Amino acid sequence: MLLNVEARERWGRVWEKLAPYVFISPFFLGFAAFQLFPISFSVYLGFAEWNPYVRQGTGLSFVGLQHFVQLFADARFLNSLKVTGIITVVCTLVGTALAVGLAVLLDKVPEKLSMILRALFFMPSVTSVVVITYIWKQILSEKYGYLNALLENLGLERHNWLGSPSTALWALIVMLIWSGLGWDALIIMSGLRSIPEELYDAAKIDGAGSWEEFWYVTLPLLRPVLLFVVTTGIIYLLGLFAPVQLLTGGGPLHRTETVALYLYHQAFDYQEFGYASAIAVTLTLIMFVASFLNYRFFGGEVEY
Amino acid sequence: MRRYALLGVLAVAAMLATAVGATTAQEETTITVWGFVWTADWLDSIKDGFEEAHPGVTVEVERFEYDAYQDAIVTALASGEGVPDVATLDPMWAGDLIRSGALVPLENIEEYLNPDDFVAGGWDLCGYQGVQYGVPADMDFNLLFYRRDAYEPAIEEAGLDHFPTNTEEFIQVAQIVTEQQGVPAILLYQSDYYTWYQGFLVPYGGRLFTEDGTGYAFNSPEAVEALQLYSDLVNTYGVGLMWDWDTDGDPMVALKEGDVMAIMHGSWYATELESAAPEMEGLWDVAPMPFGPEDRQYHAATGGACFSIPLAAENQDLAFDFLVYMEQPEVMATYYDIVGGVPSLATAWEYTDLDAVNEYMGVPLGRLVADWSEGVVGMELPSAEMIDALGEAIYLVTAEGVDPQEALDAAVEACPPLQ
Repeated sequence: MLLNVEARERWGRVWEKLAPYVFISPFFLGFAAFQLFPISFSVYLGFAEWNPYVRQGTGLSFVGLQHFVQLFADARFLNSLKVTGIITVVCTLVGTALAVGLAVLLDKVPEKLSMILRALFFMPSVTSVVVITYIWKQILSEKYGYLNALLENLGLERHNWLGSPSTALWALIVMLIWSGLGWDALIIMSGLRSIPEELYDAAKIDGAGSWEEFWYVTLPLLRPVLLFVVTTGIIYLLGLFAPVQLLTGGGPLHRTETVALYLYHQAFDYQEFGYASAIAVTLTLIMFVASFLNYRFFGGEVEY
Repeated sequence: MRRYALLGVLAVAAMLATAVGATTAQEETTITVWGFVWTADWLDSIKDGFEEAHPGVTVEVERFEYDAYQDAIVTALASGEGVPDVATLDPMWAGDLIRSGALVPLENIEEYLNPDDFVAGGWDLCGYQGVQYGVPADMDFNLLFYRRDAYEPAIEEAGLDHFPTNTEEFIQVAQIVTEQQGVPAILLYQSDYYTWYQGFLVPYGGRLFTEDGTGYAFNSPEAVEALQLYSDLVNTYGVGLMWDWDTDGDPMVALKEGDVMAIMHGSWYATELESAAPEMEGLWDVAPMPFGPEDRQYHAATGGACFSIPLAAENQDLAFDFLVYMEQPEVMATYYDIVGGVPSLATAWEYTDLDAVNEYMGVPLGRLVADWSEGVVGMELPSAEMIDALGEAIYLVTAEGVDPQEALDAAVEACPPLQ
């Protein structure tokens, strides 16, 4: 009887320690099965050649760093890296600057008008990427596009905006900035509204004009919000896939082919799963580095 | 006593369960067949006949949208999970699966099906290096859909008594069409390997691969001539409208607006025209591809759906039986009735009404396709890398004015070595 009580107490103590883990285990099991394993397998594949169709054995053979060495001699990969880099840098710099400007303007107009404008600018963020791309194709189409119709009415020449190597990338960038502007402005605006009014009053007393207020008060205090906007933006842009695939398909002459799109072609068109995984690993590393640099640049505490 | 009775009941139940299980396993075999849109409709319609001939076997047809299908099949075959027993394949991407060893070689298929019963180009479509990897459904080769009201007067003015059957005649007529109508006579797809290969390279006697299949041959003099013509139609003769599907979208808008007078597609395009432009009924006619020298051997290469057995399929024997079943003339004839595609199996033609006049076009389209199929060759199965490289070469020549030989040599260089 005494033994039973002791055993029960011991089990109770063990259960007390185990219970939290048991309760959270469904998440971790799901995480392990659907995220950890695929990610780990993908990393491993980056170092392997894989013919998944082979039925005898695994079809896997370890090739070490071969794919990674090959990557940096692959002109198409380097081109996709350059395209992704241009998109990321231009969209981040121009997009964030425009979003800050828009947020400041929206903050200055009367509240009712601001609400209407916010809703309008935010609309692309809740619209399907397919719809957005379709609208921009309608605008930019060479033969039947609104932009070319306008140019023609103004006596100017039509241009193949999406089909010309010199303009396709910029057309894509304009669409990306337009579609992300509302979201970024909304986040930045919430940051603007959290800056205490007294700081502006103090700046005014010190003789600061609108520009000084913006430069010395608003911008430094927006740093945490900008860190969020820039970091999430960069991660999204580095992995950019759907808008490019839908707008230009990566063409012409791969001038709009991003790393993610190239990765997709390698895996699903060329069935080079090992090489595609090496691209995925490289892209992830680039994302880590970019996020880290962001944090170093914009990070740090802000004290009011 | 009660315990023994209970054990007895359990034992009987277990025996029954085992027996039922065994019966179920024996009787309830399911073979899965994957198809995209139209092929799935047809597969659905023929499965009952197979089930009747194979008691206990159920055919489950899974229907996919075309755009998502290639990813679905590649993912299933690569993962080895949920692999269908029979897969519909498009020759545009079937080549990579064959070369990767993902499909069962149908080495003894000729014991059950006679290749002579098929249109030669259609049967060859599913073969690679002399081995058959599938059986064909229909023939899908490019035809020229042209506006009667624009081309007939031009043909007359050119002094011809027939639709052009070589490059020289076509350019002569197309220039008249363009001049009279004030719009381009023909639409050409930008960066499109398929149009160029089907209707230009093949009539000029060119090939994608060398005869033994171990090297690329699309930088040959014939290929250079074909690519030069593709570019010249737009840039020199001014009779072509270059159209990029990726950025310009569906060209139907140009056809409906009367901004171009002809387009190249398979016979299925008659249905597209009918549904998108019903008001243009009677305005369209159709002809074999008009390019190449006067003594050309083929006017096009044929694609078309084919059916194969993945190497990872569970029920390969039944899948094989299904392939043989679907290639019975009476069964395959229904492909024309349901899908509209003319079967590659020529012995099936007598079981359907190929002579029926397509009301929209005003011609017996099925019969015309059947007749013209004598002049087509089976499409060589391209690789995805090759399609990309050729697309780039076509763009460089047509849009950037690069020399065709230089562009095609670079394309060959960009393709992975063949085994």
